[in-house]
Amino acid sequence: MADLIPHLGSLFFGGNPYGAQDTFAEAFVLLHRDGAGDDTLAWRTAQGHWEYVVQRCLDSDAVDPHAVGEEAIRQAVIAALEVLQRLVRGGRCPRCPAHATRSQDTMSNRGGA
Amino acid sequence: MAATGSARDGSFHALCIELLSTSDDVADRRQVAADALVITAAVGRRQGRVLRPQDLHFGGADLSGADLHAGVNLRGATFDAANLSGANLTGLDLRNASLDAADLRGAVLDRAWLSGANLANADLRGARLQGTDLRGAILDGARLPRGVSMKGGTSPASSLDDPTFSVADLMRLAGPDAEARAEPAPPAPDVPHRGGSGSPRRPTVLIVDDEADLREIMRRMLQRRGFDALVAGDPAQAISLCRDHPGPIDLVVTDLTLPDMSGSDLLREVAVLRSSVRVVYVSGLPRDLAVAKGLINRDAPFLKKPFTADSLAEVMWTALAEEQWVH
Repeated sequence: MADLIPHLGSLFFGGNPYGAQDTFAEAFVLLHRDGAGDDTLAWRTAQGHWEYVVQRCLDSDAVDPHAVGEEAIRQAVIAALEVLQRLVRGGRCPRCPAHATRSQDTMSNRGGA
Repeated sequence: MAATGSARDGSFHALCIELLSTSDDVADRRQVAADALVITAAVGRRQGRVLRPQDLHFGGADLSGADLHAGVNLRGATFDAANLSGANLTGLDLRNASLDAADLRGAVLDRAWLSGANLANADLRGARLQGTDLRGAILDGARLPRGVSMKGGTSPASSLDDPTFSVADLMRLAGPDAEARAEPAPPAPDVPHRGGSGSPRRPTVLIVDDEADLREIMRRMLQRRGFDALVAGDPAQAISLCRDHPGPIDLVVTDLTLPDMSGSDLLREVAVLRSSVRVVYVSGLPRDLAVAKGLINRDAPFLKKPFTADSLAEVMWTALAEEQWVH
């Protein structure tokens, strides 16, 4: 099912079907950038944490019990975005132990991994 | 992971709490639960569903300006002393919820279900209550907005008939509908005809307050508790009544802050006309502040708003304690 979860890169631009804020994907990836500024690793780590949260939402009552397939994923993504967008604004990722705050950094590779 | 319609029994609200939490501190946890509630409500609205939070304890949390309408079921939740000022609670199911001393100033409660809820000491000034179901709600000591229209809603009939109902600012809600339900006022079973044997004379009290609805509800409440009541909206009217009323006036209940003069200045004028009259001052100011401002003496009979009808009656009976109310 993880392959049905949208890649963070698909949320990068406006007009995505989940209503993600334009700045969300970039800000979320920036939270995972290590000291050396390895953007590839940042994208990979962020994608893993993103999928974790979406999967947890998928197992919750945020998704209609009768929803299946893409509709279930859509509902889970919407729920995950509601949580993560709030956390990212505070410079936090719920999967990162230190909840690193790097939102002041700039992104050199917007395409990511 | 359940992706094909299998049971999704995990609570999204609990998941949000888990993801938002950074400490085990109880106060922090309540705020986290409140933050998670806002997210849960947003998801419920977007999904067109009503979610039930797992943790229903939000006491003391800051939910000011939160948008909680249509998305969560909060029946039986606890919001004691929470800050819900400016929150959008439209249509919410808050039946039997506890909102004791909650700050609900400016909150939108239109069509919300608050039957059986505890709103004691809650501050609802400026709140919108169109169509709100308040049947059986506990409103003792609460403060409701001026001029609240109960049109289309359910009047708090059981509360209006409840002898413990507050006579404080809350009673300003008493519109035509509420009045109709509250009258005729049945005599309270424990009306305190104090004074011993023989046929008791009901003491006569003059209520002086420039707020008409509060004045009127005080009159009704005191009549239920064994007083005959006269009302005046300003010092001039009060003085006229003291001069022209044919019967006795035993006690004056007056707001400390009146148009043109203070309550204590009024009492000095009244005492010229009715030398034996007693007084009870009421005010939104704390006693210490009223004393510091020179409005009353430290030992003057005084009651701070908001107050209950019972507490007002008790202060009045105490002020009258040395008098015999039997002819």
